Amino acid sequence: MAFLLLAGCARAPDSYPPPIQRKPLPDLAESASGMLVEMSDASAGAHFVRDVSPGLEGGRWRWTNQRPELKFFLESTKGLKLVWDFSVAEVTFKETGPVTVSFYVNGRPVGRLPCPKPGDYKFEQPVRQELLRANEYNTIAAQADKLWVSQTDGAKLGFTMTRAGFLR
Amino acid sequence: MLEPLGIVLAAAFTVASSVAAGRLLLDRFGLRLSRQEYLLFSFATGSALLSLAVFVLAALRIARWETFLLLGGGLLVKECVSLVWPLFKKMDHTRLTHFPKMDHTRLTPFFAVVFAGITGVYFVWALAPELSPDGSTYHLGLVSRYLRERGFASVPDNMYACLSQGAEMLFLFAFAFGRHSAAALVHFSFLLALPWAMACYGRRFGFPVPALAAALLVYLSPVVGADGASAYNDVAAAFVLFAVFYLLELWTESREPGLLVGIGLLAGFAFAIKYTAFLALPFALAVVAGRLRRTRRDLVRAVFVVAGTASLMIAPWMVKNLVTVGNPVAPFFNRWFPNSRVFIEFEDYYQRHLRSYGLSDRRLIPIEATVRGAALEGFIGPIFLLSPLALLALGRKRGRRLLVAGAVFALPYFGNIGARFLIPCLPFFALALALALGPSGRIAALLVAMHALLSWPANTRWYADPGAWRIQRIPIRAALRIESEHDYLSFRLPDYGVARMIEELVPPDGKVFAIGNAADAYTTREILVGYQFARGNTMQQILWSPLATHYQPTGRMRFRFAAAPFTALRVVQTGRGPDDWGVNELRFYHGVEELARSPHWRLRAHPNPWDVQMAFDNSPVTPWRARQKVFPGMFIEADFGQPELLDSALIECACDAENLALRLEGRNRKGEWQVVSARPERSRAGLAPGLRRQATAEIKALGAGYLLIRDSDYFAGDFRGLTSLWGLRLAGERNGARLYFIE
Repeated sequence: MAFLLLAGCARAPDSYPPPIQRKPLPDLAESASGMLVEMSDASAGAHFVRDVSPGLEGGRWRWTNQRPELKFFLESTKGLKLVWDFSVAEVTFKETGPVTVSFYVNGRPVGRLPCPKPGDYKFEQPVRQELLRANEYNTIAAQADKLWVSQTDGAKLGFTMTRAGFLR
Repeated sequence: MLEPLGIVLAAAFTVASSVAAGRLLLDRFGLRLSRQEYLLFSFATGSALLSLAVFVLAALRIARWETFLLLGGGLLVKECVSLVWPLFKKMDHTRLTHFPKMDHTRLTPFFAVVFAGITGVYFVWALAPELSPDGSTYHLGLVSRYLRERGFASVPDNMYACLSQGAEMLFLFAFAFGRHSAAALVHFSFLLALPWAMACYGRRFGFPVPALAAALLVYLSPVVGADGASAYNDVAAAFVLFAVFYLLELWTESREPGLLVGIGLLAGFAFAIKYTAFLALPFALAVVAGRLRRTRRDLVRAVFVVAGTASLMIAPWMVKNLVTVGNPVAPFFNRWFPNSRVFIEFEDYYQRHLRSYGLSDRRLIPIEATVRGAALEGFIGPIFLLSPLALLALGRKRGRRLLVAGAVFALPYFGNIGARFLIPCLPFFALALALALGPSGRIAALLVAMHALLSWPANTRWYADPGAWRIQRIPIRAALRIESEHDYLSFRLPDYGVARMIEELVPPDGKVFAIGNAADAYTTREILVGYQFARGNTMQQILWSPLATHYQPTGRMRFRFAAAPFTALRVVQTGRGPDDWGVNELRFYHGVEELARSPHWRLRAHPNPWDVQMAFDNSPVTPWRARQKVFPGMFIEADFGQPELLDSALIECACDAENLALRLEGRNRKGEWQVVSARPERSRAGLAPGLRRQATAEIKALGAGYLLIRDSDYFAGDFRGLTSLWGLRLAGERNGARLYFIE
């Protein structure tokens, strides 16, 4: 028994060579779409910060609330433009009338788009490099000047969106 | 009906083989025993021998039903031949006697009825498909694996495989013929043997009726019943401990040298069944030494016999651990025996947990262990709140001995306060209590009546917590297999469905990584459970590192120093504290250029040298961690093999490592170490993208191709919602558990 106990005594630390070096694996969603997320992507939820409905509607769009915000990791900030595809729904337009949507990058305004009637809209605007941070998450947000408010539960709806993010 | 019969026969074959082996041993020593004692100790010592024999077969990797049949068949044939051929008649040497005739009182039929009633319940429960928490996971999971691999062919990534498994060796014998329920029935045989031994003890030493009452107090105890009728090992350990005590008492009276062999064998078997029964050997040695203290030569001889025979049973398990893990008493004492299989950090946590079970106040233990039962995973019954009355037996010699033995065997309880860890000391305290309540046994019988009423399965709901582990029903249809095993388990054991899903969807050589326990006993696929082994601890941390704030690799510490050539650099931890220390990546620079890692480098770390490569693999999710509380002198080192001109070193780490006292030491061309910098600049970095995929890729690299995530696991929603971002594909879903394939 004593032999067993002695035989198990601590040994000096071993040494090892460096292992095979791992290569970074970018997120599938980001690498595939150039930092642009389709609302129908299975991994879209990874980009949501706030005010985007978790439920996918019609297989391709989601409702937004007051100020939808998304995040994207940018390895480089050169030559990027903000892209936001969205729609003003008839059901909300009946109550809100024409709306203007303002767009933000990292909390700073980058442009506005008037929406005089219901339908599909596309916002596309180059983003100044100084507004962005390389190798970090950057946020984008959009806000309509008028919201549809539910008379039953007070819920606020802005517009519907199909994709958003950056394109080079 | 044939199936349950086969199961019973498989268990009976195991028990009969044990008895036959024991008779072979006892017949050699010419012991003076009653017929009941002879059978009782034949079973006890034979179980030890059969367990040892199965261990040897498993070590030789020939543990299969054919060899078991040969072994058990041989023992039984020898018995039969002995019975019919007087030349080989076995009782020539053993001098069998009779107990003094017992005065049957009116209590005897009452005890018989109570015993028969609860025995029926226990038998049905044991015969029904096994669904006990530990039986369906590691006890029979390991047994099933040993049978598939014909023994100890591979080293399971499971710290439970390091525990001694003397009872499991008997389960393995039975499992080969009758599967899970046969193993449970083998343990049930120990459950029957325990009160029988207590009753024999009472008859032998002159208090038969109180002893019968005491035996029933133990036998009726809800946790004793649930444990003994399942594939656990606590009741087997309790029986063997009591048998050691009983033999010591016999030896004290008769000083027959042959008894010492039995004492040593059973003391060793107690350790072989369960680590917590290790006190049997020191207890036996102390008793023997106490009795022989005036005759030195006899003392040395007796100690040698007891310790030597005990070593026969103990050494195999310690050697197995030494060879496979590097720690003879794994998964404990890892500070004494550092190894790569069990982290000290885990051992500390595990022991803390076992000492508290999450109970906020230790004063709750008496009520939890006797009445409520949920917190301590079972309860021994409210009647044992009267245990302090056993102290009244201190006035009698027999009572003192019982109380001392009970106190000694209760000591390990403070290391694990689960209710079933009280089972080993219950027989002693119950006998002392019954002794204290008078020789007629009437008061003790009254307690038995109350205890029977309170312990009957349907009645425990009157007072126990709903979640307390106990027998709650009498599953006759399932026991007789009128209700199929599949249907019964599917309904009663959610993890059974999960195990079957794994069996259906994972290929035979596939491995599944799971955060929590799985019903290993019902699948042939290997399930790597995060907490059960060191690599699993690491895998769990890797998996959580993209999401758990304290694991996220966002901490940065940079040591800057005047450019100079170094042959090696190391980061030394100089503080002391309750935290662990980890390094996800350690990089070296000259200016902005990182020194490329060369195959000629040699990496070292202390402690936990085995994981040092994880700090040099360029993966942010794999850390080297000390895996214990920090102490001065911990280090992580890279030896470059040649001088390298450097002016900074960068540690990438989780934020929990940021507050430690670190310094950088360098080795110059002359081989001298000197402090290069003791003030790292601390900063935070953002999370890199792709950590989820990186984490699952590492899990795959560490051997698991599948992930099992339950809805109750941390971050289960993230896996469910962002499956593709994790690089996973949903393979199946059952009973709140999702099986993902790692792409």
